[in-house]
Amino acid sequence: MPWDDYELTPYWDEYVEGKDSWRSGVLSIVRQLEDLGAKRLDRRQVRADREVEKLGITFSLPDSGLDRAWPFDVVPRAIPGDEWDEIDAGLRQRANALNAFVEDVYSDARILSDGVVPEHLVLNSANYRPEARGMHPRFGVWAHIAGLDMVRADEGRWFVLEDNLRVPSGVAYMLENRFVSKRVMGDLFHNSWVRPMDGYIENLSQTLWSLSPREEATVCILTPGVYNAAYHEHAYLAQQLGVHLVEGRDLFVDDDDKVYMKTIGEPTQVDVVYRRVDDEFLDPEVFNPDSMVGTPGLMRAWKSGNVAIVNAPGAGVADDKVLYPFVPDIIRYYSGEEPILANVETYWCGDPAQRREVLANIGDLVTKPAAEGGGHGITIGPRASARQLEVARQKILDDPDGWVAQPVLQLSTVPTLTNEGLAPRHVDLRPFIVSGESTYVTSGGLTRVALEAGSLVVNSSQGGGSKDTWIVDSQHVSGAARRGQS
Amino acid sequence: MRIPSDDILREGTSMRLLTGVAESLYWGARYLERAESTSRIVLQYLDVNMDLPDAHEIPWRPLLLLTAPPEGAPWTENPSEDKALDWLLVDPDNLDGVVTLLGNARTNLRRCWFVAPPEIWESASSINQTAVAAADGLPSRPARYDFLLNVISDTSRLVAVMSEDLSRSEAFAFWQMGRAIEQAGMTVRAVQIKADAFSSRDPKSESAFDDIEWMSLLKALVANQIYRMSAGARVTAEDAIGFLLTNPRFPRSVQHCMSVLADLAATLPDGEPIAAAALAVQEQARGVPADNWRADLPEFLESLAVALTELNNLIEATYWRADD
Repeated sequence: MPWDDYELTPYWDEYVEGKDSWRSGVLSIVRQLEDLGAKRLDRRQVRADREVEKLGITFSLPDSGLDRAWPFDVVPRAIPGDEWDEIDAGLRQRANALNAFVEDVYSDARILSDGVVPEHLVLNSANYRPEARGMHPRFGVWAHIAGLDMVRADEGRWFVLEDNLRVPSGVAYMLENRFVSKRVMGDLFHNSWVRPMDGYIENLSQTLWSLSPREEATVCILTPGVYNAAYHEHAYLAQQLGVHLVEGRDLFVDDDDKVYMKTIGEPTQVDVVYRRVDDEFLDPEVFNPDSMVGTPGLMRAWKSGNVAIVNAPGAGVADDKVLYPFVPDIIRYYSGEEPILANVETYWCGDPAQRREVLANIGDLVTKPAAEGGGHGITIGPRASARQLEVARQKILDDPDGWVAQPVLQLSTVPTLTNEGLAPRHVDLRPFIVSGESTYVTSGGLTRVALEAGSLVVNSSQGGGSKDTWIVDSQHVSGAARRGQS
Repeated sequence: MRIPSDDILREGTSMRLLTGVAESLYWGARYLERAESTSRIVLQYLDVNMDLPDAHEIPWRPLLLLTAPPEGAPWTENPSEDKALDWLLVDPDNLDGVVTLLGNARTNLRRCWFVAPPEIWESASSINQTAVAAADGLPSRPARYDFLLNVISDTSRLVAVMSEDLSRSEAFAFWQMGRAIEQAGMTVRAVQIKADAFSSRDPKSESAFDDIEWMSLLKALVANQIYRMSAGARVTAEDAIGFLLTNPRFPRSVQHCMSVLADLAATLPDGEPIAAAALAVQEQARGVPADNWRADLPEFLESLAVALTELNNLIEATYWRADD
């Protein structure tokens, strides 16, 4: 039986509550996995690996350009629907507040003059773009696509770990995980009352088109190119959306401050650029002059109102890690509500008292550079060598404003298929939020799993894998409603 | 049935194809077609030579005409089967080797995947797996057979998906133009391989095996059945060459490929000069030398190959080389 040797750990396991007891919402899946048996489960994994390879679902290792098959674990992660509804509401609340914050920061900056967020933190943020001041993107939305990193820690409590508002990636893998899951675990899926994910593309499509400054809309996705780690995702989204996939050199901005695509005939005006290129490389006229992946004049066209850029330049000011501790206050300020989702306790090293606290306890904390994302530059205190801790300490002393620290969270675990059968492995979650005239939240998100026993590193470039995330409703949902789902 | 609104039927300017995508579709199609045709020709060559009486001395050199052999290679005059097929199929230095061609096709398909039907990525992955598995070498004849058969079936499947489901737009035109010009080129090259040996031979020395060889060429180009239906039972060199170059019903004839290309080019912006050039190549193909044709054949075929290269250059200069 697949569960016979499943070990209990001190961490919150999302399937197993204790010996012979299961969390709510997973019982049906547990029984079905039991019926399947260990051998057939192994065979399902082989089939899944083959599907991934056949479908060409790959990711590229940074800097190498080499494609690897996307690591996918067949055992789904399950989250009860009523629990998810609360997270969904929390994500909407958070995304809406962060968008209101960006809109405010680049116009009246009320929140700064009211002293809710220290002005100097915003103006000195590496992600603050003075060029964006005075801009009012349609619907007041700057981060049209957000991917928030969430974890469950002690007692299963959910936390938002990071707000990714610049060019969050992973959504294609979330959708492809579901595709493979349906092909390989179709019987379990069908019997588990799983909420569909198909609405993402439809909502993204409507949002992109709604942003066009003209009645007609030519939409494109701007990719850094085939060697970018997320190129597979860029091509997948372009295909699903039915839009052009362009590189910077495929576009130009004419003297009329409009953006055009180079085609085999007359140039075609572009109205919406869903860019997967960071701000710094977007327009060499304004930002990094050496950028080979941007288009000169793009900011000029944006400021003239001739093109919508998604996400808008400067949106990243709200996902700066130095500002992260203020997000609960930002939510209160703009919505008048208490935050639904919790923040992780965070120390900012620019504050002398907090810095002293961090330096004194650096071995127990995770230290993070404020302006970076994707796990770059972090030091996990309890797992770092004395030398690594010393390096981290020195970096903080050299640039205290640029560093934050958080306690090490005991991430939850989910059963994962290993060579020794099912075993608990740590996971995180990235749900995606699309904001435009209205706000849409994915049912679930991309679950990443650290495949090494005990590891907390979920990044695919460092041995991480992924799982399909099932938001499961209890079985009293009517048959008609169930059949209406995909 | 609901009739689509005018908006759906209107070919919006936003449908206009990016130059980079046009280039990738065109070259993706060319590389795939070249890999498939090379595989078919090599497979037939293996088959037919096993039927010949002096099979232990199969002349591999003619096959090397499929690609430019490496300069100064000691084995180019009379290579062994291993050397010749290693070069043609897997050698990474051979830019026209089948594994290299498959890799190039994949790179181009990656760039234009988003305009293609989703299923092509499954086929492209399958092609990639075939190529990766062969990259370490194909040490035996059965391994080579398997590889060649896999390449032919993988590429055929991908082409079928594209032909069936690719939007009938400029994307389709560039894909089909790439296939058409490559098919014409491979037909000319395949005839060149045969003609090279044939034209230097004394006509009196023709043997029963000549028929087998010409039939094998027809088979390699998937032409044998169409040939039989139009030309009857007897296979002669003269008839086979004429058929392969000018028969309008044979899809890989220069005649047919140039018709396809001219029709497609005429639908594209600035495509008229290309259509005219394709029709000129078609006319040129009809001029197979009549008198002294054995001696004149190599030069005639070479001039046809050059004309196809010039047609390619015109397409590139019109749509994407203009920026360079």
